Amino acid sequence: MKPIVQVIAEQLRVPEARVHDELAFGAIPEWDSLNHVNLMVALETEYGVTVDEDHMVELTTVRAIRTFIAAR
Amino acid sequence: MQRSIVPLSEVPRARVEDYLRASTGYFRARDSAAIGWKYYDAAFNRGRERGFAWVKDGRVRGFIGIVPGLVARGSEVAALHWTCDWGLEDPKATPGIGILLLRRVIATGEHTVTMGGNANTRALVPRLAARSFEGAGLHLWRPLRTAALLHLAASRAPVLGRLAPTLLGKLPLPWFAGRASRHVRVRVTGGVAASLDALFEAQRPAAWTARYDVPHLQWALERCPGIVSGSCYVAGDRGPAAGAVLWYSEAPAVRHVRFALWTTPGADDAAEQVVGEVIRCARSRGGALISALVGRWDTAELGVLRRAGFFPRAGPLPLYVFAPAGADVDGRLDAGLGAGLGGINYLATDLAQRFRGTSG
Repeated sequence: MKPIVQVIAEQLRVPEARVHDELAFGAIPEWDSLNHVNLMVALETEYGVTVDEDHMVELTTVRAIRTFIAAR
Repeated sequence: MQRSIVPLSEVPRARVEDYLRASTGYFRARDSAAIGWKYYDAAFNRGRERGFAWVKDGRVRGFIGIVPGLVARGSEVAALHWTCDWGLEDPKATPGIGILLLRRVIATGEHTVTMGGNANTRALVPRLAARSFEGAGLHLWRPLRTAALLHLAASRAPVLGRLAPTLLGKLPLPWFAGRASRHVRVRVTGGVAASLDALFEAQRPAAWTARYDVPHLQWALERCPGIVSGSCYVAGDRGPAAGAVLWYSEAPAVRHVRFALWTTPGADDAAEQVVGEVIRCARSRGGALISALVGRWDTAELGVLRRAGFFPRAGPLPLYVFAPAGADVDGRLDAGLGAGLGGINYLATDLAQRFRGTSG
């Protein structure tokens, strides 16, 4: 299993060094709607979790994603 | 994913109406008859799904509409979807839901086509689309009365825009009808002429082209609340050789007439006569300007309109084609659409009803 930071960096196509807990949807151009959907799909694939629409609109920070994955 | 994105047919109509009236300018300004016409017209729908909604806590919070359409190449006809009314109640707080709505339409298994869209759409959608065509739809525009010129000048001198609905705006601009052919007789009817179906049948385009039929036009124009429509066509030996529908909104003080033109190969003369009659009709009905939306691949129609004095105005519209994934993809259509889509006009998606002042 890849580290969360790596999955996020790959989906947003940014260096891992730019991925920190406070990074949020819309804060950088790379984290837009389309890449957000791709990121949610990648989380499902990588960690075997189900991300429904309610989760998707809440998982808008790296911290929220980390907490969500840790709880599953 | 997509547990709460559901077909429109499964959502209570009152919830859909609440959402559309709150979120869409077109419906906000109209009563529920407009929503009934657009999404609940049984004669047009014929059981086809007309959209998808994102429902959360019992309310619709996102929506994408579908206008079922056809494309034709030669004698082949295929179905596709035009999208419309794509939006979210709170886009900033609901990232990705709009993308899921579009993907839900694409997943229905037919090709999906979107035209135009706001800056956000134009930034995102090309990354999802199988084909993107910038500048696909050209607005061609022709002023008929001084009101149209006053509107044009209003961007530099706003006071002139305020004069447009006054008597000063009603002055007709010079127009030369051109030569009338003794061999060509243009027929004019109110509403959508049933004879146009024979014209659509006769077109047999060499490349994939948007295809209409009279039932589609009757829904889009005749039954649309607040729209007045008419038809002009030239009858040939085996049905119309060229034809047009024109329409306008009853409401605005400055009348903007729109039209869509169809021709058959070698019928430029008939098409020119039809356009002349369309202009004559628009003037006689108080039109201040007349416009058509034409695809950049439709060279015959573009030529006819340019010779009739129409000129490009406003930004061209992009066209995006989304191909369904999987084994159900129509390979003929998929490959053919790489070269573009003919027959674009205001009837594509729901552009026909969206009058925005006189901007075209």
